[in-house]
Amino acid sequence: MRARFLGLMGGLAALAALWWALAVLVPGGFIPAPGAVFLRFLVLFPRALAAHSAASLGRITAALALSLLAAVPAGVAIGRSRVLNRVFSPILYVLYPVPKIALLPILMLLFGLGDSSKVLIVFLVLFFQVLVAVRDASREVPPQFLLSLRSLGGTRRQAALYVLAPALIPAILSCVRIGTGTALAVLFFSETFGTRMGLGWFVMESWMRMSYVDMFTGILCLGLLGLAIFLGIDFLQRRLCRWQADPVLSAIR
Amino acid sequence: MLELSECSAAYGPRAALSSVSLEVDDRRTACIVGPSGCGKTTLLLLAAGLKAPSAGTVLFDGKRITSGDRGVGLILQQYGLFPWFTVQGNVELGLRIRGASSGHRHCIAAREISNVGLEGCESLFPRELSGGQQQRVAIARAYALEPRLLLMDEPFSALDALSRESLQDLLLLSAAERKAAILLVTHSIEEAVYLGHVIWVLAGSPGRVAGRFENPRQGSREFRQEPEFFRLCGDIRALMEHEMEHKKVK
Repeated sequence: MRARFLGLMGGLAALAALWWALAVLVPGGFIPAPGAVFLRFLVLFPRALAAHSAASLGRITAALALSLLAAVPAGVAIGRSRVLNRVFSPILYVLYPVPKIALLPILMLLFGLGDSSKVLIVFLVLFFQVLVAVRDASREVPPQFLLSLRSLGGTRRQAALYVLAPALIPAILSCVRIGTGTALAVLFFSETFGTRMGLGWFVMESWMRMSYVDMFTGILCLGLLGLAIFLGIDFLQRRLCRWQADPVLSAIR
Repeated sequence: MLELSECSAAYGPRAALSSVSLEVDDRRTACIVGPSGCGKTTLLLLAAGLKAPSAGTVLFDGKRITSGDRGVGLILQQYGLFPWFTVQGNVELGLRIRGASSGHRHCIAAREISNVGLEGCESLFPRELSGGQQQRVAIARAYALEPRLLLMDEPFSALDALSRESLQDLLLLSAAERKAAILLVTHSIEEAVYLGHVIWVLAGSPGRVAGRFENPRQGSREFRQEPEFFRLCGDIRALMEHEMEHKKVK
């Protein structure tokens, strides 16, 4: 635990050093020094940034929860059934590469400018990623596990509980980890429309005011939001996947 | 106790077994030897009721076998242990599935785990165990449901010689104590002759029964050193080689 904390702090310190070097080297003063941004962060966070971060975190959590609820069962169904796979995989292959952000205008027309269209656009991004990952992972569950479970007298429901769920959790977590980056980018973009809450709005608004310190404070906040989500996923992975020897995780530990 | 009569099986258009008849008697060990691809594993799936024969019948105690019959335990290749459950979790699983109380589960699991000599390993995950230890867990898991017939697929083929021999002895001893019968699939002729009261030779693709050998002196260490042991191994090998030749000519 202590080693993990020290590693995290060391990484952040290295990042700050790189940032400081860029602030000094890039002419024109567009990049504010990390110290100034950090001080601004301390001032702004209790006043406004906390609320903006909470709004963004709320939207991304809602989108994540919805996409898992919808995509995990659908992915298992498509992965485990030859018929469903034949019907839905072609549809999936057409829809998956469509940049979901292109659908934002339509979603805003259908669901308004408020939170629901923002949650939905992030939901769409994550849904397809989780769906494809779960479909592939559930196809690769070794048959000997399901045969063993049936020979012990297990029903289909018990197979889902004792075999599919534990076998799929690592794939789901790593897919959420990869999807988080895209989800944050899409959320950022959607928050520049029709809202005055959220880190996307805060960063763009600071930019319009040409306040680069405020803008970088917002970007720092986005980074910290991402960090919080990643640490949360790592925590879940350690709790739920103790049975796996994961070289990446043991390095972070 | 177990009786396959004229069983055929197929995976889609590919036939795996063709009209196989064999039986396993009460409290006896039957071994099936044959080259890879002759349908040995399929035969075990039929015997466990996990795959329906395309023709023929599989009877267990005179009744058609159904999947998950408590009287039959199955140990698949690579032990079929669940990597996400601990040793304790794996051994308890069959009882948990059947709704046993946690106290009862604990008591049975403790008994079975100590029977295979793995006390102290209860909270380890399969990846933390050696191959031999994993096989012991698989045996404990199967025995936790007190089956009267144990089906095993290549149980010892991935083990080093010493662990293999100690596990073979553990298997024979524990089966005798529990009055359980065993149907064991192997590609090792020596293993079949050491373990089996009866040895069935499977050959061809799709597989069929090519021969049956009685082996009353199975399971004794002295027998392993005697000319009779080597003679029986030689007879079985000759039959298998003959079948291979036969296939080539065809």
